Amino acid sequence: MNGEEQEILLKEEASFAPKSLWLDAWRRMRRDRLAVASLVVIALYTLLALAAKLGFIATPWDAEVGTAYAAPSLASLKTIFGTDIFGRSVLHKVIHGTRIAMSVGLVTSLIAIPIGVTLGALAGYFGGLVDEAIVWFYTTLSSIPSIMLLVAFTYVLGKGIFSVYIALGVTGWIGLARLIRGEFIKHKHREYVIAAESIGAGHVKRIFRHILPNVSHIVIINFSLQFQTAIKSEVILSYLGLGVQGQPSWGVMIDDSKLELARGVWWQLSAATLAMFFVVLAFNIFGDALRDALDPKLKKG
Amino acid sequence: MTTYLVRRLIYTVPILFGVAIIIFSLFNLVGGDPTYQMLGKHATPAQIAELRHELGLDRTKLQQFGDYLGQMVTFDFGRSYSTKQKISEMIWSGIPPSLSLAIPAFIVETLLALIIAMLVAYFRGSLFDRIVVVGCVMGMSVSALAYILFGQYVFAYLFGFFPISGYDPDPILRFKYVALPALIWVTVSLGINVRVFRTFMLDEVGQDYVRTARAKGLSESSTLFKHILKNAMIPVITYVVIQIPFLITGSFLLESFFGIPGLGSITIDAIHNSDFPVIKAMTTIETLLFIFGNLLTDALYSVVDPRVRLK
Amino acid sequence: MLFKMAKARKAGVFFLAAAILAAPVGVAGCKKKRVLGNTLRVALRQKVRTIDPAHGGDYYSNVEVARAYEGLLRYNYLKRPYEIEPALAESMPEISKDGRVYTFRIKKGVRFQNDGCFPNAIGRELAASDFVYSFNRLLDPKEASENKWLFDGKVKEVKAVDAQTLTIRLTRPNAVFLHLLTMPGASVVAREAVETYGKDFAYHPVGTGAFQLDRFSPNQIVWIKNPSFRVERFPADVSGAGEDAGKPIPFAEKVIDDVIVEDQPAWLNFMQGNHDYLMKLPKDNVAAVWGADHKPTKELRDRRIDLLAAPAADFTYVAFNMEDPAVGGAKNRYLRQAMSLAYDEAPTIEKFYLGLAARAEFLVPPGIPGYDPSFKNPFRAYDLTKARAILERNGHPEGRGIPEITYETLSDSTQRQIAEYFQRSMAQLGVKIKISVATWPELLSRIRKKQPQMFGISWLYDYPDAENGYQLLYGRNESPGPNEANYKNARYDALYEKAAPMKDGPERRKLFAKMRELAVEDVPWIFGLHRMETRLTHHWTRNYKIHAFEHNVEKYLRVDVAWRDAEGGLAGR
Repeated sequence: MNGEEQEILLKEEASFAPKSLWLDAWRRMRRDRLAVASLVVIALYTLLALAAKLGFIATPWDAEVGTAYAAPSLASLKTIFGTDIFGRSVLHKVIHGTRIAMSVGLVTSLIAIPIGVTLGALAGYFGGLVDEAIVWFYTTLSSIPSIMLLVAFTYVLGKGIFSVYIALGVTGWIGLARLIRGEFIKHKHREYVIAAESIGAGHVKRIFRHILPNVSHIVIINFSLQFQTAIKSEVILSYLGLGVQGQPSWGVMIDDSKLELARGVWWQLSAATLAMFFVVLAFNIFGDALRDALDPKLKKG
Repeated sequence: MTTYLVRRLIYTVPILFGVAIIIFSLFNLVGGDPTYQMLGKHATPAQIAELRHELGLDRTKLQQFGDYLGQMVTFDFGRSYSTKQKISEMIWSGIPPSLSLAIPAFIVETLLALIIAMLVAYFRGSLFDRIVVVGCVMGMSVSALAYILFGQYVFAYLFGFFPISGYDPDPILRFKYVALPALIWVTVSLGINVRVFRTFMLDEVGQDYVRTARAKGLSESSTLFKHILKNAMIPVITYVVIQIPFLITGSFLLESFFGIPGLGSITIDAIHNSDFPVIKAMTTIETLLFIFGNLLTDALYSVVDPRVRLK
Repeated sequence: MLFKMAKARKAGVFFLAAAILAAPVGVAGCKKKRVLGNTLRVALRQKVRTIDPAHGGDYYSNVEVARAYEGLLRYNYLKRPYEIEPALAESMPEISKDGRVYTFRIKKGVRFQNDGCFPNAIGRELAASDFVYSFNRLLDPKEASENKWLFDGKVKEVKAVDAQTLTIRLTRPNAVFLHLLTMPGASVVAREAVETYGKDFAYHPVGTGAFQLDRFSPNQIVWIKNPSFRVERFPADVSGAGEDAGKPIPFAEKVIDDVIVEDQPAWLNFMQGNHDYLMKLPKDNVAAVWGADHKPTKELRDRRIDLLAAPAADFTYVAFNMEDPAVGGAKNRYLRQAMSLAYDEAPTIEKFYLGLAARAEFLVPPGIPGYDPSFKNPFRAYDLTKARAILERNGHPEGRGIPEITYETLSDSTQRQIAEYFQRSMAQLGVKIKISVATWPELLSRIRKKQPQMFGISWLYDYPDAENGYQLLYGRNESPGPNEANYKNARYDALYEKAAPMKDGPERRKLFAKMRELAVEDVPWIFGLHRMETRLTHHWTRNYKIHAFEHNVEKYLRVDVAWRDAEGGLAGR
């Protein structure tokens, strides 16, 4: 999904979101079994990633656990998804792939969200020349196709997970900035902001203490969409040979195993594809549910 | 109207300039040195210096930036490092193959998505709606690579419905080669488009005029098709039009797996060969198309909805 | 229009769904067995950069150049060891006593292909002056030719004595000069064509060769038999010449080169019978047809597909940058020796080449004169205990205190896996390796600038003479030259200068053996493997013999057309 589409899916958010909305939304989400299931899946992935990161499970991922290209067997947990060319456990690789994927999603969001929120808020709040400059900057950046920008960034920064973080983070904030800017333009003339000004709140306080909490639901929804876009982009980058190096990411696994298919080794491709499928699906459903829950207007049509 | 368009046009100038700065700094300041690649495995230092001169790499960065601005205006991007072909010729020869895959795929996919979205909007909130939305999301969650590997193996090799890969210069014979990649294209992008179109339609459902129409006693289906659809068409058309320029640039994966010599496969090949002038030219062209597409959409919008001009 | 669509509603969905479901059936319905006639169909696994002899150099450019162009000499298609024979020359040249002047007689009655650049579009007769023009073109600085090295510094003067006689004067005697003349870069071009087509000459080949370009597109290149090609015959005086011995070549009326970069479509197309043979097989595809017992699988035998294999005249290696402070120089020799001892290449032969490779002891591969099967490189045998002992002796027990080393390689998945294997091997020694990948042009440009610490790479011989391997360690060939390890050893260099101009023989081999001793001890490289070149051929494809230096094998191939049409039912496309 590119930024354009994300934004369209998010556009309903332009409406005003009262504070009680969060509670209301949570109540609504809880009734949506699919959304709860997605949340559980996401939590599970996060746990797996954390456990792998801390070395509790699937460590070391590159140990030989059997013969090369052993088919999946139920004999032991390690070989439940079979083994790869070096006899390493595909299960372990998938788990560490999860770690990479979740870290790519998280770090890129951590880069993109502050940039997007800050620039969007500044542009929307101050308007005038500041607005012109920021809008010019992100329009320019968003005019360049993001895949080409990613390619260019990996050339500049060298290849590896660090570049993937930066490239995805630096290109991922634009949609969010645009939405936040729109919200700030609407909110800055609202009574509560004017009231805050009259009791002497400065610009910084007005931006961060007063307006931002009222538009923060946009950030949350954007986060869930940003996350899965990042995961999918990592796979494409790895396919182009520009992705993660020396670590078992899903993209690298898919790239390796597209050849292995010819020798009848289907398990590595399936395991990586399925692992990616479930988390992206969960983020999609969860993001939708979140959007529906936070946007009462859409409910009863 | 004209003033609005002129203003929009003037507004693109700083954008173009910004784009030029970004692309130039990414590719010229940090992009690799092509001379070794061009001279092969037995190069001598003297040869390298000579070639650098010929390529203008020994000029100052400012002069090189000037050269690049010139390229953006004239569309003459020089020659490829790897094939030494004229890049403008490569691009011209790549457009028809890309379009012959993209146009049929795009038309089928847009119409199909629109129809499904209308049905979903009509039955909104029902089980049918739910199933379609979940189905779309599932479709979107599978890597495009998996669709391609599977489609090519099963439908082309095992069943023999389609040729495995290839391209025919003859426009009629070409059809059988683009059929399978076009089908895969439709499958890959249907999910997202159904969801986007559904959102547009549901967006209108909540509007006041719809309530009025219902209050007047209009049936649900005539409300949907007379009022909602008519209004939802504006964002739909905008969304569709903005994609059109990108059809020219084709698809990376589909073109390279199915041997279609379009711009997508030229780009992926350039990435694999670090052919910077080609990557740069493709980036520039895609960017210009995007800006142009935006301009077109705005113009269209201002025709449909005169209020826009006042903004 | 969109509103009308809306009214059609459900009917529209069904119609479109039906249309889409019907599409494959319709396509399948049109599929008829098309009789291909005497056409060879080949899959090239990379885009073709150029068909200009001056600018080719990579494998696939050479293949295409050789379709259209010829040089003075070539290798016999069937004889092994490789033997040079005249191509456009009438006979082998006369060489002056001092070894500096080569005199060639050019074949009479050879014509360039008919082309619009000639008067009346009729190909002109080839003359000695065409070689003068072509060779000088490589040397012209304006041309920036990749093949300049063939003659640069080696040739003093090329002269046409008369229409049929060509003399080449060398700066100094050169034992491999005849080999250089066989390379596609040394082909003869027509001045008229170069001048008419300018920079686009790269895609307008006009040569004397067996095939003439019919159509060039980035994904398909079609050649037809050159109608004015002279009478050439399939080798007859060699064993294995078979039923085609002495028959006029080429056999094929047409050659279709499909460019298929991705592995899956290349493989599926071959298995469906759309290509007559397949080269550059990815390891995983070979595994599908080549059992773990190193025998063809049943599927292969049932379908009568042959797997051909022959030494590729190459070797893989991991080069150290000898100027790098952490791994280079005399002070780090112990480290390089230990690392070489700790690298077990045996599993890679199975994993990556399915047994279709052999351990490389040194830089002379099998099939090249001077290859010594009895030589054992003392640092090549896998000996982890010894390797660990070396590190311990030098104050690095279990690799402690050795900085992390970056290993650079290509970004395709097989090279990446080989790098991972190297990383794992070094981990046993306690040496930490970081892998960094790049595309070929990027890696090459880094190597030329002496930037990598170490890198995995291979060398494919340009011609069958051991000098082509030994020059890779000659000090004056350092980067940006072919000595990519930047190895410098004065004694090695002195011996090289003495041995290079000599003809292959016991005396030269003695010098080479001394050089080998030096290079082996210094370990500028960790040797990997000598690979086998592999081909899969369908049973209707005749006369295929893997040749490491002949690029236009299509000239010799014959397709049993009747058999293919009858049995290769899958070939309909």
